[in-house]
Amino acid sequence: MTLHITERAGLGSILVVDDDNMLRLLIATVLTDVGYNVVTAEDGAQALEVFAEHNIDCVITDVMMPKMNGFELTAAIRIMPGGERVQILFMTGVDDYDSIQRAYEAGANDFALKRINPSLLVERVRFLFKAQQMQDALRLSEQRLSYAQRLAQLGHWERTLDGKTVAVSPVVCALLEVGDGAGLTWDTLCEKVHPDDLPMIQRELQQAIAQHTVYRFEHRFMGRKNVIKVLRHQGEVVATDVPGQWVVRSTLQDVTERRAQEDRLHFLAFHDPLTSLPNRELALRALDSVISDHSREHQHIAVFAVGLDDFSRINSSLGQAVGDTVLKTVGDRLRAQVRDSDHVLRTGELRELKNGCLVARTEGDRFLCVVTNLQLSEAAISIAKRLQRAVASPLALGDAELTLSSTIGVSLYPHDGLNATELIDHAFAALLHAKGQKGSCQFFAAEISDRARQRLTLETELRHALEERQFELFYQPRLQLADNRVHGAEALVRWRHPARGMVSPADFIPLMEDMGLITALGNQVIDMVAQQVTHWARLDPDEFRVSFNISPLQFLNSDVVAEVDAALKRHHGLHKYLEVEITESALLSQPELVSATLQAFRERGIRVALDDFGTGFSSLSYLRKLPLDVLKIDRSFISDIGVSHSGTTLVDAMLFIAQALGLDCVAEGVELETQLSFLASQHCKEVQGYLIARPMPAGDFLHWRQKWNAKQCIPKTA
Amino acid sequence: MSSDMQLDREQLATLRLLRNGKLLGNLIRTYRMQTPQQLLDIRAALQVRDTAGVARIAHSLKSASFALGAIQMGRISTVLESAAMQCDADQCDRLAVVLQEHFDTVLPDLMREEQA
Repeated sequence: MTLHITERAGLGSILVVDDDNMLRLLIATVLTDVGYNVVTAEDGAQALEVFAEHNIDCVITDVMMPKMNGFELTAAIRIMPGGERVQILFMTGVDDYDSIQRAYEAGANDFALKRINPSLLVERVRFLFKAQQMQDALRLSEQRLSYAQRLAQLGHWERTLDGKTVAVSPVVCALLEVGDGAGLTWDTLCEKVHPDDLPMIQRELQQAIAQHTVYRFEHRFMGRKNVIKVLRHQGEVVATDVPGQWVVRSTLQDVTERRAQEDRLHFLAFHDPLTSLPNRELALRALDSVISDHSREHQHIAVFAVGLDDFSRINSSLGQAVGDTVLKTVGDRLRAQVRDSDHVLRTGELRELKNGCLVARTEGDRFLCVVTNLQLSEAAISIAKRLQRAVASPLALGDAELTLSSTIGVSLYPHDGLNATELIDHAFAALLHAKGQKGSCQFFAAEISDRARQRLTLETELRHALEERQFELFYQPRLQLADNRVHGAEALVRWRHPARGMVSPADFIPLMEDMGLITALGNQVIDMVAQQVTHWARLDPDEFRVSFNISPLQFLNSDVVAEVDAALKRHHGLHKYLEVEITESALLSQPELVSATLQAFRERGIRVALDDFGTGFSSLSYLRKLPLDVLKIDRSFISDIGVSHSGTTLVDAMLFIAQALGLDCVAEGVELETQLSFLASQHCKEVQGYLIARPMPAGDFLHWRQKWNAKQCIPKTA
Repeated sequence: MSSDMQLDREQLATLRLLRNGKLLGNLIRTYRMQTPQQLLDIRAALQVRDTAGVARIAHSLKSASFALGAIQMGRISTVLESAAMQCDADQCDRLAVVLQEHFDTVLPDLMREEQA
């Protein structure tokens, strides 16, 4: 016979326990020769000491030994640290079935015959080590799985079709707050499911059981201390090894946090972040939902489009922070109005809206109120008035008080539209129509829709005009009265519409401000002015300035100085040929920023003019503090010269103020010789108006100016 | 009984392969030295009718005998162990004598194996 030891095992420690010296020697020798580390013990008590001192992988033990037999030894080892994973091999007689049975019961892994065959013993031990490695790997895998499940709050649960638990993981017990899971049934869970969710999960599970399919649902779980968790179930109904017997195997996961994040994302997608009100999209969905129910009833729905009057002025003059406060306050006020008497919706949940109302912020200064269940459409009038009164309550801003007003457009279901889009569009069309009369309320009418379409068309055309650079500059001369020569001009933007021809700024500037396009237009103006003055400077060496207007919105919301610098750099122009005109409203907001910007212009050699002087809120203190060069007296004052004594006196006072502050004065809108004569007599420095010339294209202006200056033509004075 | 029936030659050949036969020599020497003492211990236990002690010693002798290939010694030890566990002291007395006779018979063969 040949001894087959075909493989030298990796290192492993074996404890051989036998009271027989010869057997210990034999077993130890056989195993040592194939590479194991072997330690021996004569009896069970000694074996326990050795086991405690060494890192033992395998124990080979006799059954009958003095002091402690193999069964007692095995039981003792199993409860020692590391004892649960060690492989234990019993050496028994060939017919010792009773010992074999008891050995397994005591925790043995295997047995071998005492009539030792070295080859078989080695193979047996090798198998035990392999089994141990597999068990270790399995244990590690289970630990990792358990860890991952614990981290993911994912547990598994197997139960019979009538709900009795077959197997359950600790995670499930923890999620369901049922201790070690003893006595856990499906009904135990159902007792803590949110009542609103219970029918759904029962239905889903019954369907899965009936069809032997998978199921998947989430529900709220009423935990201890009133903590509500969201649990996700995913499972299937599967057949067991027993014919005709089925079980439900499922996983259970705590998805409370994920659901909360989804809710947050949902909220962000359907709400205005500033006011937390529903946005237009949610309003559309909610209204459509209401209408779908409402068609069965005979009640009215009113849609109110609420626009704040002069909000852009508030924003530009008092700053965006104040503007935001105004919007939030108005949102709260509108909400309070419809909530108090009309069961307003606060969360935007569709199902809650069906019997209530909705306040949404759709864009900028536009709000939307939807009120359902109106018995009479006439009730909409009183609601609109109530909304306007609420908005109009004085708003305290520190020591100051701001008075707001709103204009409202109203559409009614079903008269003005049969779906949400129509109703909302028509309400806003009515609002747009009413905007000319601030503080008014306009109900939708068919002709308004036509005008709204016109406006929509105009908006589209304006965007196109910007892209196509359809805007151009006209130049109105500024006559210097001291030498009766033209040393400057004001650049005025015009829109050359491809079909309608030249369009007045009054027809598109307010709209572009509304559309948020005014800065883009302003940048085009700056570019055109820079290009033009550079061109003229090359042709005519005379000192000459071109002034251009900067919108308050552009002044506050963009780096207009950098824009001017960039434009001049592009066209290789000089700052000294430019003059910026700002209105008084731009001065009121953020005075430090305004002052710094104006100072930056002046440091570059650009003069600063205050346009429309006298029409705004400017005080003498502002005029003293701000770095200005020029005051332009508004045409409304100039037209009063000679008409009334007070009007003439007022212009006289303005000229006096300008001179006292060391500012040059320009009179706008001079159309009569009497006006010119008076202004000359009061030492007004420059004038502009139709009396001198109307605004003209750049191509005409140079020729006109050269001709004027050459003649030094002085109009007759009275 | 012939010595061929008393020794498992195949087992002995297997053991001889370990450590170039030195292990087998050690095993036989150990068996030769401890077995007479075990036989004396059996007799001593029988004199005081300690059948449990007899069973324990017989069990140990059985294991060593089978492991070494002394199959007849192993078989007799197995029967002795069984009789002792049934507290049959008279039977144990007879078997103890038989066990001693067989040991005396197999010893020369074992010594030859040890020398081989």
